Amino acid sequence: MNDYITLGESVILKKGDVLKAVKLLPKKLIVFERMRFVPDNAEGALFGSTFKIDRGGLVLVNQEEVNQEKNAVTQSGQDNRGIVDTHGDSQTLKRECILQMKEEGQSGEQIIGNLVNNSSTFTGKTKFSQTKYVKKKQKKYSSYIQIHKPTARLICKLYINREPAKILNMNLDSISQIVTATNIRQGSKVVVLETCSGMLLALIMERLGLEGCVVNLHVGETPSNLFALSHLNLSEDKWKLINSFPLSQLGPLIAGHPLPSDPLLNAEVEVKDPEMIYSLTHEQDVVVVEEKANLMSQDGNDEPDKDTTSFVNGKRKRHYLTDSEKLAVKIERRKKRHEQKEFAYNCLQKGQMDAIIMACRFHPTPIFMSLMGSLAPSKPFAIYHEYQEPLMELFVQLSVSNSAINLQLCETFMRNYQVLSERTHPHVMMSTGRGYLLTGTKVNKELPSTNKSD
Amino acid sequence: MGFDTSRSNVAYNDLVIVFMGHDSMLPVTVKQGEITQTKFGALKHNELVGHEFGAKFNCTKGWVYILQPTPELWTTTLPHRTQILYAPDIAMITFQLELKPGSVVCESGTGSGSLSHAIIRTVAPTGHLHTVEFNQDRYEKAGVEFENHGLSKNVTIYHRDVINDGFPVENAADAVFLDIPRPDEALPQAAKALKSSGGRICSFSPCIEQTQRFCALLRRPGSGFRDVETIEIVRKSHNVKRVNIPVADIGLGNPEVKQHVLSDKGPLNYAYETGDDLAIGHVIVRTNQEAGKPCKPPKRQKVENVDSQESNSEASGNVQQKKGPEDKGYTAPSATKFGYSFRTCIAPKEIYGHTGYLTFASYCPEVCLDLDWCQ
Ligand SMILES: C[S@@+](CC[C@H](N)C(=O)[O-])C[C@H]1O[C@@H](n2cnc3c(N)ncnc32)[C@H](O)[C@@H]1O
Repeated sequence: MNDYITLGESVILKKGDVLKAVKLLPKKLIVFERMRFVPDNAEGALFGSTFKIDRGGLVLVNQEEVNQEKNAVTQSGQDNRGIVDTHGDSQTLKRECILQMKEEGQSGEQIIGNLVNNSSTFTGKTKFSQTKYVKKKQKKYSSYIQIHKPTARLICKLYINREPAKILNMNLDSISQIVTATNIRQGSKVVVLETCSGMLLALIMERLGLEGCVVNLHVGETPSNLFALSHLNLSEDKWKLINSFPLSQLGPLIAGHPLPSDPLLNAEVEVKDPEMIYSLTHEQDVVVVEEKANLMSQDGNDEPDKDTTSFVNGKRKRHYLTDSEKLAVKIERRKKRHEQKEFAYNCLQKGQMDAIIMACRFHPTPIFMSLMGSLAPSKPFAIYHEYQEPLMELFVQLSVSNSAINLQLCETFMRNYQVLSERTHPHVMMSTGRGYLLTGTKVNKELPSTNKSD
Repeated sequence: MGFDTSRSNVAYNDLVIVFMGHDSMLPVTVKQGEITQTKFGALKHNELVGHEFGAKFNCTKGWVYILQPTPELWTTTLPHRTQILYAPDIAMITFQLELKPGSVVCESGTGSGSLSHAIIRTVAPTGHLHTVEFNQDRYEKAGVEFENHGLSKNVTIYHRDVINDGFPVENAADAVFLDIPRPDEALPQAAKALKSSGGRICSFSPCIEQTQRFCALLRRPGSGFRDVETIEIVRKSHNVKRVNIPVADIGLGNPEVKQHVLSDKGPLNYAYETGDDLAIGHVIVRTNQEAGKPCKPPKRQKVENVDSQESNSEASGNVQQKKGPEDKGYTAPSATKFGYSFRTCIAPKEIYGHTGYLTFASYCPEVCLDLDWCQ
């Protein structure tokens, strides 16, 4: 991926502290923080650029423009002695006027300028409180946004800020430790069970680089945790590193049962346009579309929609499928899934995996103890859980089983600071950082035969 | 060699970590004919060769585990030549600097190489770490370590003063990390090293004054930096222990009194059940009692042999040296006449309550607007 914004790819929108991941599609309306715009004009700008929303489109903002706005704020008092408590009447500009300004198409900055000019107390305030005032208003009316390159860091931040419940209330410190404690690097073969919308998978995929292998364990028929991943603009080759495997096959695997075969895979279907079937089943976007569909239909039904949508080079295509084509798509998807399952099955069975990572809402002990056999000796694991007690149990089970050492049950505490001259202090609001991490290293509890003497 | 995770058996010249307990590990380079003395007796190197990593291994007076080194194990065992960074800070730094395979990173100073090992692991095999250290001795020792650990392909160490001489690359780094006493003075050098199309920077400072100066510079209009953020991380590691607290006698000797207090109408009707001649609290936590329903056959939890000694050994995470009675696995909290027994997490008396302030920012000189009307 390069340094420039490209239509057809996912990006992270940022306004103040608010982040959102979206796919930029030509002429496709984006709604973000009560702003609506089409992204077309952003194409070709450097990632990190700032844009203004103007008449439903994006306009690149430059420094001079900003300076003009800034100069609107000049005079300031020295301290608070001139401040009169006006009980909210200090703003002479009425709500209706603000709305009218908006309708007239005034920019957020113009509105702020007006607010400032009409605030009877503004010039009496200190520079600091003026700034605070402007910032408060800025937050509300400013129409500047930034467009950033999607990285695992931003995706994690986004989930932490917007959907903490979907990621088991995990915090940045737990997230970051999971991938270092398990020594994830290019080429790692890692078993993952996460019910965090794919946020952890996104970070793992970023750390794997171009090679490696992920066995992605999931409940139900199809994985439902690829959503966050879809925003990383992964190449098809990288998607191939992920091999999904249903948890319900773990017991049979340990008991030595082969994977059940799928009778549908042997069906013969006539296909008019094999290329389209291929693109429908091999494009990352389809995975997402498919996944959305799966999220909606409880049983993970893989019946393709009547009008399946796919995106080719950023252009949306609608496909009207005949019955046999629908079946072909279904078979092709099942085939792909079955291949993945087989690959994952072999990985788990060989017992040569490099790491196990778990962050799920389930009771961890039965799952983890069943996975231990797939991990090679001397390799690390990390298990996150929202609650301490299940990890305490697993801690004890592991130490009693003699199959793991270096066990550590940790809780991290992260504090953000405001660092400004004469005004440095911890942030008033701090995340409570719910969640616990159990890490350790697998060992071989038997003495090697050559070393039995003593 | 040692950090190559693709091999699974010990070979000569490998770095291995000899594990005797989670606070007792030893880095050892396996050499023909050499012997290392551990607290469990002599460990003959020749005998290690060919063994699988993660294997248990007999010494003369006990056994140890032979582990393949990881940057995290190295951090806990490396020879300290300076203050070093530890796992929680290292994890946050690699994450916030967005390091991944292929990243180009500049670091100063190298110090004891604790962070460097983690960076190299994450950017390998296609990325590179340029690390700058002005102390001759530390520069040489770290260089030898990188070489011995088989990391040379992905790291270059330079003997120079970063403030005066800068980093060895320009407009080339995806990330810069500073752990020096005056990070603000190295900021221009850091900016020069970073890619003008964008990058990340981090500075670690134990003291707030340095952090303040650094942040002020980052925030200066036209600096090219934005999204300045300062955080602090504290890790609390828990010991899992079984604890037994006594149940006080509230005067239930008289059977009539007891019956009254423990009856369905009494104050203690919810948690404990009395059997025919069981003392209060002896056994039985009512599990699924529904309100209003008579709780006929109460579910009984086996009385367990409470042994308060059991706890300490398992807390260390090192099971092998455990002397006390074997813990037969997890048990739920239980009450006996000897007390109420449960497992809990106990934080150590003292922890590293402060390591340093981590300041992060993004560098994007070409598109960085001075939107912060604050300054
Ligand atoms: C605290 S240590 C770094 C520890 C390192 N982060 C680690 O994890 O092992 C700081 C190092 O920076 C070096 N140093 C300080 N000022 C420097 C400068 N201006 N140029 C190069 N190195 C410097 C010191 O010699 C010292 O070894």
